[in-house]
Amino acid sequence: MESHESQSYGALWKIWGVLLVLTAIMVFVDAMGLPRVLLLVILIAAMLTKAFFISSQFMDLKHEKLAVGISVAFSILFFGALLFALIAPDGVAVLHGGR
Amino acid sequence: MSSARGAREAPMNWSGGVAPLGMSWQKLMMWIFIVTDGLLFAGFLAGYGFARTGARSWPDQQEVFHLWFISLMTFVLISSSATMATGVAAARVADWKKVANMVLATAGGGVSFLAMQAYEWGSLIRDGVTLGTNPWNVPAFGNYFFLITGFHGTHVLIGTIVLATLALRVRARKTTAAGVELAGLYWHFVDLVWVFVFTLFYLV
Amino acid sequence: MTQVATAETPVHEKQSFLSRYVFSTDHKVIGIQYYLTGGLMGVLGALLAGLIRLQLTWPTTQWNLLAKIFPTGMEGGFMKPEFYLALVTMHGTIMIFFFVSLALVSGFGNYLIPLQVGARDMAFPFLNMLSYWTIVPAILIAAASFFVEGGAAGSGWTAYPPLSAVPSAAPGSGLGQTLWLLAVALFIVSFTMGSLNYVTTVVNLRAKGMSMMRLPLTVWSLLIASIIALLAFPALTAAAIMLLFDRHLGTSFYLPAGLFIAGKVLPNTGGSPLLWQHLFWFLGHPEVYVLILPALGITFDVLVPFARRPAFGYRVTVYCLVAIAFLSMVVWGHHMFVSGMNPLVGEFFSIGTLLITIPSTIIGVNMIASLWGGKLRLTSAALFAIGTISFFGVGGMGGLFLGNAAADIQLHDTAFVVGHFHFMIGGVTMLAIFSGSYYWFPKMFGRKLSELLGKLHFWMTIVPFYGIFATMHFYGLAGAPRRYYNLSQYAFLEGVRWMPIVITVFAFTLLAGQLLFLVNLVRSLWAGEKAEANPWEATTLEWSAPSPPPHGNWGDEEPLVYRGAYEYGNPDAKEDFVPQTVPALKVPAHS
Repeated sequence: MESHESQSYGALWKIWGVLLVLTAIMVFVDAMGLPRVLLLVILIAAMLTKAFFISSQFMDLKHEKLAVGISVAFSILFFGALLFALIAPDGVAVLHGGR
Repeated sequence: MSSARGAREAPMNWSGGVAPLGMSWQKLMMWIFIVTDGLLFAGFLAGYGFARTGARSWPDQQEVFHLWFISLMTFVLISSSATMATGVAAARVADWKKVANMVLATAGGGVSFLAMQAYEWGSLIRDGVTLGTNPWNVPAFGNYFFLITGFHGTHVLIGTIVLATLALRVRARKTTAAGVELAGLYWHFVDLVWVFVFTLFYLV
Repeated sequence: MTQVATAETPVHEKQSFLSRYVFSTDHKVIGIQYYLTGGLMGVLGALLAGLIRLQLTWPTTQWNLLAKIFPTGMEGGFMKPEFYLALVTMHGTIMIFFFVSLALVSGFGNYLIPLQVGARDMAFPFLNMLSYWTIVPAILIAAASFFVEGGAAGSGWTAYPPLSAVPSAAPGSGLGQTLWLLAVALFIVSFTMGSLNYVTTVVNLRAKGMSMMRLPLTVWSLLIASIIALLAFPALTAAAIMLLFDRHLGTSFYLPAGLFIAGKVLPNTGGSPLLWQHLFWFLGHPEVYVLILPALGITFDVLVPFARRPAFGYRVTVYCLVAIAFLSMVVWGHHMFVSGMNPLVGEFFSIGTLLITIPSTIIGVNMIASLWGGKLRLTSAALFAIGTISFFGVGGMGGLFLGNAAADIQLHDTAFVVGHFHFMIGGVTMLAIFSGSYYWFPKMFGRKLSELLGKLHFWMTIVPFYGIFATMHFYGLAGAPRRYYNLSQYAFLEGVRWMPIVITVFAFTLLAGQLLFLVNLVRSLWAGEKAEANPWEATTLEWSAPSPPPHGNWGDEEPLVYRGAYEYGNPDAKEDFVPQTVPALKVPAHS
């Protein structure tokens, strides 16, 4: 197996703290009644940041070859976003306008 | 193999006879599996996105969910990820006693999460949310809620069982650091999915 | 995690018949299991096609013999509409998932990948064995669906709701559709397991010296096909789960309000069949590339040794395969141009679809150029490989028409589409299965297939195939719709009544021609001419192992690779080919 410096336990719990703070921020912002687009931007940015921390620190992607992390992130995020982006317009058309 | 800091700088070796991505086939396979499982949830979420963008109205989460309770669930899952990561780190230095404790703690987190999810389901069902109808007259809401949280919960359940088994094997000193790491990757994936579900379903 | 022996020297105790031939973890045995199972399913699918042709050509004939075999579907000797739809559905499902997928991708893939990369077996042999034994129940369930109440599913292999989502909608929408979903789900699990093995093996288990750009194109194409399969199948899994929910749990993922089916208004509301179409085709389109890319890779591998010259444009071909794979994942909407989909999104899909023409054409040109100036050895395998180029080009042209959203309004759901996709996933893939069979049979079984029967088989395949599916293009242009069980009642088809007859005559000729292959296969297994390790004088690694290779493939020493996959016609070499395992200094020079 690969050998590398063991992640110090303290560093891991620091990340835990960061994730909790981010979560708290997200919940509070959600209750603030912001304009829709601003809310979406903030929530999605925070969500992706949390995802980044979990994958790079907890799942150790930062110690793997960069190609692995990029491939994994690209595959899920790009195709996930593509699915949503190309399917959602039909949601608007079909469900709002009726056929 | 290269050191922690050096892994990213060392060039990848594609000339054969060497693992070019610097990981064993087991770990590579687990990562690819994680990508496919992630795309499964992406499929569900795309359907949810379709229904949500098209819906004339959607129940207000602040009203429907006890967001403080869901936040607690999120706290539990994130903490279980932290204990798991600690367990993986402990396995690398062969501190098996700590590994067993951490893996058990993670499994415990899984059980707590499931119990809380079950309670959440129960309270919503009592409020009249079924697969077919709900008080806000948006059937898609109930459909996607039970589908997505159900599938996520199933993944948590499977992970919990795997971890419980792993804890026993660790106790018997029958595991390797690599094995613990593989289980850890799956568990963190489950946490990762929850990050997306929590945001896109409960907050947005 | 159990450590699985992969690159270690194999030490094997005596194995029982069960563990050696039935539950084997040896990739070669599993590959042959897949190949034979796929072949069997291909025969079944072909018989279903025969029935379809009978109905389309002579719908008013009373088939008393068939009424005895299918008492419900052919009651009184006349085909019921739901039986026709079940035939069409299961023909498609079986051919795509249980014939081409199994024989071409799983069969040849499992057999060849470890051999061609220089590994002793796949990365995870136990998972490999599981993947085959997951397919077996899938097949049994699919076959059983014919015999349940209501018969097999009748919603097409595309399973569009509401027909597939409402159990009371049609006879096949009940248990038949549920079993279909189960069979497809098991297929997806099996194929995912296989793809995980393929990718991991190609990435991690290549022999020393086997860099990516020294890999045979078969391996590249299988690697790329596996990657898009892994990325695309989950969407269908998600869609199928939602369909099961709609069918059995009262949800409305795909069911809009106001549906009136089987005499009552359904309570569902809030869903749309369009969602299924999107999710299904997100898989459905890459799926056909999962099938065709390995066919293209195998075609190169077969053409090159019979042209005695290197593959033309190897590197560019690899890039084109990658480009096709990526593009294939973003063009699924071209199956939905007339669905009511947002037309701007439709235009995006149309442009992407037409862009795929470019790398596809480059690959086709590279195939032809790989013959240019070569010393052609026209064996049966070579003939089938050349036929593949022909089908790829001609069939591909139909794609230009269909990819154009405006033209598709006329052509969608006509026989034109049926003709097009049969050229691509029926013709190209089937010919690749045959060319691969004639080429690798000696490696698999230590004997050669009969060349005479092979050549007869070739001509009795390619000519009728053109007869059937080229005609079908014109039948579709004339307006003949697909999936209609009786076209004889439409006056607008009066001028082309001769076409289905011609198609059917060619179809039965095609079926008969395949008997030649079956006979050849069986006879050669026992009485075929014995083959040495490298009967075709080829360069790729599998030919440096004995025919058939032993368990562990390489004996004591794993191969070392010194050169690319297609070194033919090297002017400094004594022979006109240099295998990949020959080091640079040892190339025997002309004296």
